[in-house]
Amino acid sequence: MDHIQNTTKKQVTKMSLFKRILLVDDDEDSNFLTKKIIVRSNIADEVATALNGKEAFEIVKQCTDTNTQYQCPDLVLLDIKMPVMNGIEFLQVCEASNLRNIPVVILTSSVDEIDKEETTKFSFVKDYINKPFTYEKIMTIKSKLDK
Amino acid sequence: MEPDSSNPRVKPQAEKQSNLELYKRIFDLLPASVFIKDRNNQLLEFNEAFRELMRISREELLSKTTNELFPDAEKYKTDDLEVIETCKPKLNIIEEVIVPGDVKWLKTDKVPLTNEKGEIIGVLAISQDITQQKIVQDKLAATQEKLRRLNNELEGRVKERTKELLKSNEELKRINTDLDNFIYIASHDLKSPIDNIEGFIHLLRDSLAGRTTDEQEEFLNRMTTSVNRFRKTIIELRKITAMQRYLKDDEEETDLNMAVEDIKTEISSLIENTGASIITSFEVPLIKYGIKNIKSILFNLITNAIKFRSPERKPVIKISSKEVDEGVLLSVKDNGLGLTPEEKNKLFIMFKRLHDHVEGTGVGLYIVKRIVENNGGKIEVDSEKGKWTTFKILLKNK
Repeated sequence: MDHIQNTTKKQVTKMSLFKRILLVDDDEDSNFLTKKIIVRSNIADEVATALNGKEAFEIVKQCTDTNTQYQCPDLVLLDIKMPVMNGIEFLQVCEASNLRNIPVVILTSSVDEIDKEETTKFSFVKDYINKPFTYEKIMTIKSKLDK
Repeated sequence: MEPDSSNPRVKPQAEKQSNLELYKRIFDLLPASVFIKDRNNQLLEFNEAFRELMRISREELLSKTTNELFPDAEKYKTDDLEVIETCKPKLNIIEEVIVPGDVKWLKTDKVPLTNEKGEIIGVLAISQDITQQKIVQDKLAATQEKLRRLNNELEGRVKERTKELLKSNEELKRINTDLDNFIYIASHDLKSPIDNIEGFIHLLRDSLAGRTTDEQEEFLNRMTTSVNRFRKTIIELRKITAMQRYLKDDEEETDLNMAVEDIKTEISSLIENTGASIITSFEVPLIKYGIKNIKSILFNLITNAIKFRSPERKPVIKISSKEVDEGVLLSVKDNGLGLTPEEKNKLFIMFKRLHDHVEGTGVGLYIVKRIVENNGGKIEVDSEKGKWTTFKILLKNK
């Protein structure tokens, strides 16, 4: 599958913050940049990307299937405004499919314009990051998640 | 011969004669045309006024039939017959009468004429010439008609203009919405690429760490500065679009003192660094206006007053409110740089900056004006260059 081919694996040299991050955003430049930062800063061992909620849901559904060889991401970085299936719809289908065990962090260019009530009702939405994505921002989130 | 007073028949005869002459004279002196017609519509007797009206001699009048005298004689005959048959007077007959050489408007009363025995022998008619009155009346009616027509025309034009104005208003609203949408879309669509550019500059810096020449380092710095300026502009644009969302939150009661205190806390370091003092005197401390809007208005005006302070004195900002006919008048007066009349005209234009030495994007006052006007109020500025500026804001009563 495209999104699986789109997975970047790095040579593991030291312990990363996450094993596998799923990056869901329709902005390919942004994905490229975020992926670079994740890999260079040793934030995750692997980064998979999906260009919309539908692609992301397929990945999540597939990896939770016991017969699959794919590993589940331990963090989803999710944009809200996307074509085909937006971030909120992605959260809704995950909720409806009982796929609530993967933590989701909303990564968007305008956190202040998100209807927080709409996203905080999903227990697996853990935090928000305003773009641009930086090592410092994800570190803060990681320490919050670990608590 | 002397009159014989012993003859009882002589005196009454003379008296009768003299009375007859008197009546005849009175008859002729009456300022109305009086005439008598028999049952066959034939003229029997008339006074001098009638003769004058007809403009022919008495003999001629008596020698002609009514049909010869009046082209519409048959019409008058109908009235006469009605009076004769009903034995009742017919009053206030107003009609146009063709008399020799002229057309007159007459008001005629017709009464049954009886003989000594009480038998109806004809009709006694008294006519008043109301031609002048009628001309004036007609002129008046014509003027009234003209007025009515003009009025209708005017009403039509007003309706048309109102329709046009409403249409223009709708058009303006639509353009305004389009503009807001454009700003919203532009600011959102521009943010992602600028985020990416900023990220790539970071990555480039990291990749080149320690290997850049001074010139390349300057390029990178200039790119960063430009990106930051771009970002600041986008943030201001987003403030405008954010403002659109709460433009109409007018249901709450806002405490002006509290709003100012909140702003003071928010900009405490700016106040401290400049030694600014903010003096409030609110005759009307509570107003029905959205708190976000009031804070946005006051925040922009207060920070502007501090930003554009005079280098010769510490900024003093006086904020007051008072009740006026149309609502509440909020005033913000400073002792800053002041404005020239030309500068005043450019004040509320988006992205228009009057002073380059001060940080800013030129959106603040545009936002203030939009908030005030969208809530039905208005904003005015008064100033003396080098001395002071006062912003007067009418917050419309809801």
